[in-house]
Amino acid sequence: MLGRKGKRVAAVAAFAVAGSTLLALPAAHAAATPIVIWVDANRLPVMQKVVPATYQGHPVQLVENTDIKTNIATISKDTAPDIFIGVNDWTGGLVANGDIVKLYPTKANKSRLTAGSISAFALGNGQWGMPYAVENVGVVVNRKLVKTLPKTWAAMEKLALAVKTNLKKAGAKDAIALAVPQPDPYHMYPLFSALGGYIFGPNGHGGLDPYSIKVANPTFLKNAPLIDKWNKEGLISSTVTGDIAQKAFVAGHAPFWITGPWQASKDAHGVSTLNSLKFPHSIIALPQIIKGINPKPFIGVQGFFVSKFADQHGVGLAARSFVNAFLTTDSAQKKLALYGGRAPADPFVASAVTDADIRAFGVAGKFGVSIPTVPQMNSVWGPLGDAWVKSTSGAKAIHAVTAFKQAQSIIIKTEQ
Amino acid sequence: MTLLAEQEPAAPAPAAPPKPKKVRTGLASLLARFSGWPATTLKILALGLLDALVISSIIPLVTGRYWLMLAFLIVASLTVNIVFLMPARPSWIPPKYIVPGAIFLVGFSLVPIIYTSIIAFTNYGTGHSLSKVEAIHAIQLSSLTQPANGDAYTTTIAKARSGEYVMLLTSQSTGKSYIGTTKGLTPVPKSLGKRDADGNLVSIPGYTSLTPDQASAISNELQALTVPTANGGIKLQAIDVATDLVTTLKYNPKNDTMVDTTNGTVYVDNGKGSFINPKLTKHQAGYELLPGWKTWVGFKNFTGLITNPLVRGPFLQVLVWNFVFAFMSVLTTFIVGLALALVLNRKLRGQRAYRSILILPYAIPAFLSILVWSALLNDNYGAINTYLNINIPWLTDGTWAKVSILIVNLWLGMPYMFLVCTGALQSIPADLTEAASVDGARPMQSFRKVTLPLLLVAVGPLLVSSFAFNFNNFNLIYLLTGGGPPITNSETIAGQTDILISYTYNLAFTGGKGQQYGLAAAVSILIFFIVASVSLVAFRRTRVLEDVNR
Repeated sequence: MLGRKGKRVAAVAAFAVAGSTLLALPAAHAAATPIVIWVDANRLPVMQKVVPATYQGHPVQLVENTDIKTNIATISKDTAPDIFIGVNDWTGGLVANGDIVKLYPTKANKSRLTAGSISAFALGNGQWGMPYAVENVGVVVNRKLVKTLPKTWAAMEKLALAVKTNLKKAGAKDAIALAVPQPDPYHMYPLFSALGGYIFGPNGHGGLDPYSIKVANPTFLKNAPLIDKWNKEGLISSTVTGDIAQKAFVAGHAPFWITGPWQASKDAHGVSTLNSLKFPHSIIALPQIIKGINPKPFIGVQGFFVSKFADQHGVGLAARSFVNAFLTTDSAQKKLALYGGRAPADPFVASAVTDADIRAFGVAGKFGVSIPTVPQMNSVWGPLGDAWVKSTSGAKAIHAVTAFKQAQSIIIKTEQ
Repeated sequence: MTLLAEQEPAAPAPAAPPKPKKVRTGLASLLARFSGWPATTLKILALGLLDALVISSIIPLVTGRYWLMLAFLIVASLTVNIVFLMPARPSWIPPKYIVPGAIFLVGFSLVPIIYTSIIAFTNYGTGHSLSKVEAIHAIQLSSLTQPANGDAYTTTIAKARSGEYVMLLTSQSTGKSYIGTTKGLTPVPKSLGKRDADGNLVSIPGYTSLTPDQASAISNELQALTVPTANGGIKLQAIDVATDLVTTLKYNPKNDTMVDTTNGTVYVDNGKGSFINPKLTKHQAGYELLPGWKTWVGFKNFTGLITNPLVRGPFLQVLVWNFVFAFMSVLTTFIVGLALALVLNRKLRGQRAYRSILILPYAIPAFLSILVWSALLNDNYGAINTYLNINIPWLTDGTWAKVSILIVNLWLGMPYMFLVCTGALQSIPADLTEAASVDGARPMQSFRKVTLPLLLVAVGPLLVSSFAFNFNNFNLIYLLTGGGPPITNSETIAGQTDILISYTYNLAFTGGKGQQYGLAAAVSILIFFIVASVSLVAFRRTRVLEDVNR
């Protein structure tokens, strides 16, 4: 018979076999393959209202994922989504990694969306995502400090500085003239473009040439000394971070604040930063700084991508038609606009947006340009932000012309 | 020699009647209750559960082809089983304590190190994250283009009696209907078959039409179905929509090239993980096909550190500051920590209260406190400049930024040194210093000649490890200054307070097309060698200190 050691081994083996069959049982019950959609926390409530329980015979599963962009690059097939929400400037990196598949929306699918929002997801000769919302920054104005909205930049500049001086005299230590988070090239882009700056030159086929960097183009260099003037008079400063800008504006210590529609997104109790301000506010676009050049905020377009794993999971056709056909229908776009907290990419449902702030941000983005989708955009953000810091750091600032010329050559050196 | 905790007083043996049975108290008696068959049952249950988990994960690992993970799990669980089921001979007791820790050490320390070393020899990163087979598949899939005047068709899938699937197509532009098979398109006259309200063909005699749900269930098979046309094919894009598509890129397995069928361009494998057009230069449009794939690049990442001007330029400056920062951090925290430990070593009123307050910075999460410090040190809006009415550019001036980093690190690291020195001081017997003062030594002399050497023997290794930790103190640099004010007079992405690891982070993840894991892994290995060699030398020297005692 088995000795003591043998009995123990036998007992362990018996438990092991029993346990493994128990654990394997749930896996045996495979239902119809679900369509898995990854959304971020902000978008989850909206999607729950829009998405049906099943679509073309597949149950639809919404999964909240906090860092979709990083996770999509490193997941395995079993845990991968079939569809996920993203911003249009992810397109370059996703295509370079082969993570998403091309979509072929028909004319009917595209009929309701603006051409700009659709082209925001175009790269090379393909369409890689379908849009549903647009967001861009605008200037939020404290109407208690600013009685009449300035119509020109000169008036706005003078007013901002005058208000800051008065506030400082009244004891507000953190008064800011133009509250814009530094060094954030995304928020600074309206000012950058208003002076003639842009990033990539055209490639002759209607797209952008990622190796033609125009950050320090001649028009911009001609107007760049204005940045030195703003730095000297204290209009903008590199020491203002996003938190400081928000705190100062909310406390009523700044007349103008450059920010985006995420400040109007409501939490569970319907409270947002903008609708809980203690003073009336308006949202306007930045006025022209140089005559003839419109400030162009970056437009980030939010949309849906189909991942390469949809084909591997066997739901490729369903996922594609979900993104191309279902989400671009009138009812889906209306619901997304109503609950989404962003201006819709479908102008026909613009009336569904009831929040005045969101509408105003949409209007402020009239001349906006979509964030370039080429993967080389990744190497632009850092040096561009550094250029702003170098030229607006108060007494130690260098000339903007030098700073942006340096940024241009750093970008050329670091991009591949 | 105990360093930190005081020893617990041994439980006194109670006055028991002279019986051979020992009476145990407290924890010992609780544990004693479990020996014998309860312990054996628990052990069998736990081992059985572990084995069940491993066995049930074999099938998913095999189907997913995770061979290394499978091998590791099997070896680890076999080891655990053998070690814990062996009879309790004394020679088998040490493995019982070592094996669990060793398994976790291999799994969580050794495996990442090996993996990092492997990646350092590849070009893994954005644009090169697939295998070559996957990349070819992705390129071909994405090369399907809708021609300018291509059509879209409303489709119904139907099954022939032979089991073959066909598409019943109605053009969305002309309204004409066709039946599409793997042999081609055949027009269907208006008189044949049934149409729906919009005029789309939905069924034909001789074929059974599928419902959308039925079609969706065989999605993969249907996606492979292509109806060949003059210069491409018609493929399904949704259950009910098919589009004209033209393949532009075809893979030629004989030559290992991609050929553009529209203009004959040949893309060759450049050996570095991409298909390129050899007739164009690197930055011209159409030079490289995306995505690329992961491939071995040998020592290119390492030599790139020397040859790439972006890395070489600021490297010396970053390295020097890195050493200075680590050394000064250890020096300042040690001096202040030791001074406070000495002061609080004697019996003071409120000694415990002082000690608790001084340890607070160590108890607060460093992440949180660094963020608060960066807000406090803000030039124009931070509390320090505002309320002390001074105007020091804490974070915007290069030199002051370095000072701020050292101050914050002093605040964060001093409690650790204080604790360590307190323990070490308490373990030095008091009669040594008494004997020194009897011999006529002044307090400073007795400290320098008696206390300090004995202290350094105990604390030496900790100083070395503190240096190694601060050499790679990414959190502090990233959260406080983000690499510091940008260097204004040269074109580099390094900042004035960048250390090697934060500079690597900027280089590898915010440059190029995205993440460059291969480059980051190579620099990490370089940093490891620097820290390891410094630590080795330093440890040798602390051993010399130990000879003082012998």
